[in-house]
Amino acid sequence: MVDNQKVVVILLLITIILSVASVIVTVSGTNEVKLDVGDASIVTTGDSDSQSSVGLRISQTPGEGG
Amino acid sequence: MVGEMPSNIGSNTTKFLMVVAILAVAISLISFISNYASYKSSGFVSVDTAKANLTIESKIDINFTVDGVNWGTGYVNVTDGLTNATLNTEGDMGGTGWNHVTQGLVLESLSNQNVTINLTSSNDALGFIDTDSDHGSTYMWKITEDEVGSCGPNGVPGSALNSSLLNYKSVADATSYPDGVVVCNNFYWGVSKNQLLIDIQVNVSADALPGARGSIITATAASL
Repeated sequence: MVDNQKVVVILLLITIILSVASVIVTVSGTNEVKLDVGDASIVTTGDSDSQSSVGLRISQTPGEGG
Repeated sequence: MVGEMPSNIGSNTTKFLMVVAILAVAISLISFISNYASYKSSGFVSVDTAKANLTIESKIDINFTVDGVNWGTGYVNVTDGLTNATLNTEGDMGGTGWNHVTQGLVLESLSNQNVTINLTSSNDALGFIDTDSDHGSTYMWKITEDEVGSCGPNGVPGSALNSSLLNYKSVADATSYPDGVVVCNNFYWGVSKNQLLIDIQVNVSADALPGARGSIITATAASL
């Protein structure tokens, strides 16, 4: 009888230990993620061109042959 | 004996408690294993650090917001004794028939950094105006700030302009000068300070042959 009672007590202790361990795992299992922004780098895309035009027309001077 | 628990009753109670205890252990064990598995799958490390990288792309973009000058059709009136006619984009028109042009070319920077500006021309005065042989015609340009501070990196307006181009100077053709000429070595990109004015002046000789004339001016931007 005494031995059986000891077994029961031991089992209850194991139950308590497992419950506490379970609680610890649950609490510590909540991850904390930190977001760190790294250094920004600059890339040059290259040169750029743009064009324009200049124009005129030279007409024949009145009275001149041609 | 009065008050003493029968041995079979005590034994049954102990057995019952033992069964309950075993069940409690089993349930606790299952709960623990379940939590532990979930813990591992969601990340065993309690504190994790991630990095978010970004790249700021540098843009170089220039654009002629006024991209054409056209004096139309005209001639040098030799009957008035003229031997040439000067036309420019500041309203001067010394010939007959051509338009009075009062607006030069305007170059704007849409970049996100300061840049250097080179200008090249498809031809010079001989290629543009005289065409067949040198009759003494001229083709010139002048570069100034269209918006004050566009070419003054140290707060001094115009300080980065090519000083030799503040007054009209002959245009060199791209064949002879493929790299063109640096007109501003620090062209600002900010709003209201990002425009250059390119005035054009031609002097048409009376001996220049009739016909259409054209020249292409190319602006090239490069990072400093």
